[in-house]
Amino acid sequence: MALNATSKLLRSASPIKLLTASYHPNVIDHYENPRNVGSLDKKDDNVGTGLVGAPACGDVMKLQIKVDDNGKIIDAKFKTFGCGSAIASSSLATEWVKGKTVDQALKLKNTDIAKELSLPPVKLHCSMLAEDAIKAALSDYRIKQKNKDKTAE
Amino acid sequence: MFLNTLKFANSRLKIVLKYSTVAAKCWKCGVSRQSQVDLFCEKCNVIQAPTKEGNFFKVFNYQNSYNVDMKDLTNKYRKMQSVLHPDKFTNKSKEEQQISEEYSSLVNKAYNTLQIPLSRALHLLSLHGEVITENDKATDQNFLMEMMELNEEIEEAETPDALKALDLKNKQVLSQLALDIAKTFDGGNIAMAKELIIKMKYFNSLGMRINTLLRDRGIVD
Repeated sequence: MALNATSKLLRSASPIKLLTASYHPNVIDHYENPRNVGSLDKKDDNVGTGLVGAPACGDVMKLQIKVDDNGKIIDAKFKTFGCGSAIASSSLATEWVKGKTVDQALKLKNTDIAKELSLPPVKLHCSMLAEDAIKAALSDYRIKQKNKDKTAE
Repeated sequence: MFLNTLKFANSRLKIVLKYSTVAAKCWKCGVSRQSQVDLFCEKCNVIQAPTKEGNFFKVFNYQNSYNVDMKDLTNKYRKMQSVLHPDKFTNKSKEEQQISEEYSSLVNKAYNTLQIPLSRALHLLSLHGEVITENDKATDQNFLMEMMELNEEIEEAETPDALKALDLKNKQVLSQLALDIAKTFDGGNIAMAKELIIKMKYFNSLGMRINTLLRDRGIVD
């Protein structure tokens, strides 16, 4: 009798269910099966690395792109230590920039990421972090290329 | 040494308060109150409402200083709750019950905030008119690289002992940061304090990640 009452109480609480329900399926998908996790060779001239952080939550995000001689992004990798939304945002960002040119990738907006993942207002900064990471990676790549041109001259 | 400074600071604060609260009156009997530090009116012994400044240091009659003696804080907290708790007011008037509820919950909030090094630092920062928002960016590449590497170290730690060793190292960094933050606040360099608090936030996140991993493996201290 008493045991029954207790087990019912436990069932009705189910805090884990409540937590997962607040994330959109697209976020959970990227969180559980993140695309392109890993690292590229930082010293490679064709690799751009972006390293950004969000002080408000103590998150850190690394996003790298590999560009071929035609200016096309042929590979992208990321490593994010942070919340589910930050991981999903960077995972989606690597997926999107792959196959794009450097100029096209520059046009990627955090609002696109936020929309695709249906991020709530409090998590918008996660998508901004991903945009910053791409911008930082692209600018790192460009600086490397400029330096390469200079030394070639 | 540190304790003495604190005691001195407290006594000085009491004197300041004594002379600055001429206007404060007991809401019940209307007598001018000598000291706003007292929780009850010295004449009619009725509970007094807390000030609405939102300064958690003041709740415990502390100066706005990062250095808080934890033992003293807990003592004060227990003493205050032993007289402020709503359970003590079940036979009192509605107003008194309401004040007790309000005061008791304020004391809880203040205690919880001051007790935790990071939240105490953030509270003190906010009293200086500064907050860390989502728009703040960490740009120090060396620091971010260090955080990346520490996170990877945690991720790659295979044994519980390795995780525990990382946890210990992390805790040492956090206590050093707390000392630095105290010094920086005392020196009045708020911008620098903010930088250090951001660092503390990162190391705090590292600690939480280590704890989660330890918990996942069924290790609880």
